[in-house]
Parts: sequence; structure tokens; C-alpha cells
Amino acid sequence: MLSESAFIVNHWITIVWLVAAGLYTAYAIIADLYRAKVPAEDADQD
Amino acid sequence: MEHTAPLPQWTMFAILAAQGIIYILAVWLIGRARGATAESYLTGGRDIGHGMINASIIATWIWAATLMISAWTGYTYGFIGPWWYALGAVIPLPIMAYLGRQIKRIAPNVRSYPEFIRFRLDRKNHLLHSLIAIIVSFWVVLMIVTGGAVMGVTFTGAPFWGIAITMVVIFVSYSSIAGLWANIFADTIMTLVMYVCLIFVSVGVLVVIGPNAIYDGVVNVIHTKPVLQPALSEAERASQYDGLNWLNAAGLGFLIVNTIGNLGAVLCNQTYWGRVIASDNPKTVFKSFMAAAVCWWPIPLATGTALGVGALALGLTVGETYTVGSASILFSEAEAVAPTMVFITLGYVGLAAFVIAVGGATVSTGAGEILAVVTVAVNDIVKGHLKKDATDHQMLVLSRLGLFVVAALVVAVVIYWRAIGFGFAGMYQAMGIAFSSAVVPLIMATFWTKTNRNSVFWATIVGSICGVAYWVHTDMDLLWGVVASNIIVIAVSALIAIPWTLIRPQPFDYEGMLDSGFQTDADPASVPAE
Repeated sequence: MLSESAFIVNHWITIVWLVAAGLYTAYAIIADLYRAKVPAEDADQD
Repeated sequence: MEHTAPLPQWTMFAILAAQGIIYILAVWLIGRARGATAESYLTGGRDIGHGMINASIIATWIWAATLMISAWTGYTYGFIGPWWYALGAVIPLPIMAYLGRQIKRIAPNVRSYPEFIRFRLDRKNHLLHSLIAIIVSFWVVLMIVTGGAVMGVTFTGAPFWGIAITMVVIFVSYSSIAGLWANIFADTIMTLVMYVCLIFVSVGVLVVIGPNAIYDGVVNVIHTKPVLQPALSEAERASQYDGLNWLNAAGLGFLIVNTIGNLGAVLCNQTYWGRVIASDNPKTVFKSFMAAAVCWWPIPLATGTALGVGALALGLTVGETYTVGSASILFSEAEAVAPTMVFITLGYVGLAAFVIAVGGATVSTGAGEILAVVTVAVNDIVKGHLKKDATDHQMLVLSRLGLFVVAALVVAVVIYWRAIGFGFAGMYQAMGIAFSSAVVPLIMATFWTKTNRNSVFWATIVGSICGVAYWVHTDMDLLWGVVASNIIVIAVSALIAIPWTLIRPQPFDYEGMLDSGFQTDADPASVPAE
């Protein structure tokens, strides 16, 4: 049977992982937008 | 009189309509050029980066059922339920990472996975996989629309047919403008919205109840053994009274069902292959499917833990009506534990956040699946078999028309089945059993240069027949019967295809596939070799 402390750690892992996944997903989208923008600006300068 | 639908009817339509309007406007303003040719309409332009592909895979693999059933596993199997549920469902994604990267490398011009099969194997295998892909996606969209509409009825009391039609209209609206790119773009927005909603719900339950109180509640259930789900058998009830055990037996069974049962539903589903084809390069494919697995996992895990285990700790009982302020909610069935729990702990705001997440999950997956049906029907059946000289313009027109035809068909079937009381119980498992036989042949065709074309064809058919026959023999048992049937399907197909190939190998050169693809006037490519 899971101890109380292990149960609490388990619960926090689920929350922290969810938040981290959300932040990574948002970061990856922003990085995409940035990469899409930079070549366009480079092309303008050329 | 009991108010069993805590939100007013208009909220369901408002949430769906708001999503639809945002997607239509955004797609029209940013991406309508992607709908100019059949090539860009069906492939998304083949230049989409990791961020959007990753988000799109996450959105596509989150169904309303992901949120509802993960909570049910927490409620029924304790803290380990959401872990097993998420692990089982996530396993197909890393497999797709390897398959997708390989196909993107060796056949970068194909528009669908059956098209890859056409150039790698032969016409009969192409036709077989085209039919499988159409049936899988059509079946999934039927389940998604039905499930989403049933939940809308539960949350708001709005009419079933009204919700079903609204959802399908939204699927078609933005997809018809820019095809696959529109799907992926809308998925990206929806993934972010879903994360916000689900983080709010999970953190909210943690703050309102607290993990210590949840632990004490589960311990109390273990000691007092209340009857929370009257419909459960004694054996199943024992799992609910074992909610702090890592090795909860029924929960482990659910892991196996979820793992094997989902293989065919993902690997033979053009919706996921669409994300492979729309990616800008093989590295993006691999990275995106791997990242999506890691980022998808905590969604059912956190939702199931907060709402499912939380409900177990509070001792919520199926059939009871719970009152919050002036409103009440009927806990009608165990699968509705998530909305019941979120309403009890977080009230209207929490329920609204959950409904937005469920609505988003339904729209993003449903739109992708409908487009997948149309892609395979137009690209593989029409262009591949019926009218090989179809022009790009003809394919584009057919694709747009096809969306409306498939949408009308989906609405008609869903409403008819609802009217006659057709039950979906077991149908997803049946689909998994029927089509998991194509998994080994698909992997062999992708990685094994000596794969015998007849071996994989017959392995797919015979494996499927054996698995379905065994499942019928077990009276369609939804736990161990499904497990055994899925193992039989995969084992039989492997036992036919692998020895046959070893005895009669047919060497193939993957490098010859680099320019393969159905020839069109917009994108000239090689003519298939017989």
C-alpha cells in the first residue's frame, strides 16, 4: 500500500508534469513562429 | 424537479460556436492560400515545424474519452489507474515516431500511408489499407461525435441532434478552407486552450481538497468498503477497494487492453500520418511524436488523478444527486465521474473549463478524422484506382465536396443510431481487434526490404478474422477477452507474414521510392511500378 508521503509526491508529479508539458508545448509553438519569421526578415534584407 | 444538467443549453452551442468562429477567421486570414491546390490542401504544404506538429498530435490523441475514462480509471482502480491508462494509450506514439520518420525519408512525396503501401507493395495491399484507413477514421469520427454530443447533453441538456450537427458543421467549416494545414493550425490553438483548462481543473482540485485529504479519503474507502458503483461485480469492486496498490490487477489488465487495442487505431489512421506528411522533415516527425508522447501523458494522468482519485476519496456514489449552492448534478453513471467531481469541487467555473476542454478535444480530433477519410477516399480510391488521370483541380474540388458528403453521412448515421438506441459499448475494442492485424505488415513493409507482398496481405486478413472470431467466442468480453483477441490478431499476422517472408523473400530497394507518388499536373512524380 502506498504511503501518504509517496501518494502526495505522486499527486504533485502529475501536476508539475502537466504544467511542464503545457509550457514546453507553448515554447515549441513560439519557437516555430520565430523560425518562420527570421528567414522572412533575412530575405527582406537580401 | 432535479436539475441533472447544471449548465444552460445555450452554453454548449456558445462554446462550440466560439471555437468555430475563431478557427474560421484565423484560418481564412492566415492560411487560406494553403487551400489553393490539392497538393497543399491534402498535405498541409509539407513545411510545418515541430511546434505545430507536436501540438497537433497532442490534440488529435486527446479525445473526450481521454478525459472521461482516465478519471473513471482513477475512480475505479485508484491512483494507479490513470498511470496505466496513460501509459497504454501513449505507446503507439513512439512507434509512430520511428515509422513516420522512415516513411518521410524513403517516400517524401506520398500524401497518405496507403499511398506508401501502393509504391512499396502492390495494388491489392493498397486497396486493403485504403479501406482499413477509411473505416478506422470514419468509425472514430462516429464515436467522437456521438460521445461529444452525449456529454453535451449531460452537461447542458441541449438536444443531441443539435450538438451533433453543430460539431460536424464546425469540423467541415475551417477544414474546407485550407485542408490539413487548417486542421493542424486549429489543433495548435486548441492544445494550448486545453492545457490552460486542465491545469486550472487539476490545480483547483488540489487546492480545494488537498492531497492529504484525498489520501485519507482513499484509505477510508479501503477500510469501510462502501458500494460506490452498484453495477460493478465483486471482483471489480475489489479493485476499487485496492486504490493505493501499485499492482492493482484489473488496472494492469486495462494497461494491456489500452496498449494493444490502440495500435491499430493509431498506426492505421491517416489522421496521424497526415501530421507526418505535413512535417517539414523526418527529424521533425521523430521529435514531434516523441515530444507529443511525453506531453500527452500527463493530461489523462493529472485529470484522472485529480478528478477520478479525488472522487474516490470523497466517496461519490453512482446514482446519487449532489447539490452545490442552488444547483444539483446527478451522478448518473461511473463514466461521468469527471464532470460530477469538477462541478462539486470547482462549481460552474470548473465545469465550464472542463466542457471547453472536452469540446476542444472533440472538435480537433473530429475535424482531423473527417479530413483523413476524405484524403484517403480522394487520393487513394479515386486517384489510385478509379480515375488515375484526375487533375489537381479535380482532386481539390472532390476533396472539398467529399468533406460535406462525409459530414452529412456522419450526422445521418449518428442521429439514426441514437434514435434506434445503438450501443457503442465494445465497438472501439472491436475496431482495435479487427485492424491490429495490419500493424505487423505495416512495420514489415516500412523497415524490412525483403517483405513478401502476398504474406502481408494475407496476414492482415487472416489475423483479423482469427482475432474477431475468438472475441465473438468469448461473448465479446471487454477485459481479458479483448486482451487475448488482440494478442491473437497480432500473433497470427506475425506468424503468417514473417515465416512466409523468410521462406519467399522479395527484395526491394527503398531508394527507388524517393520520387514515388501519384502523378498530378501540379506535382509531377513517378508513375507507380507494378
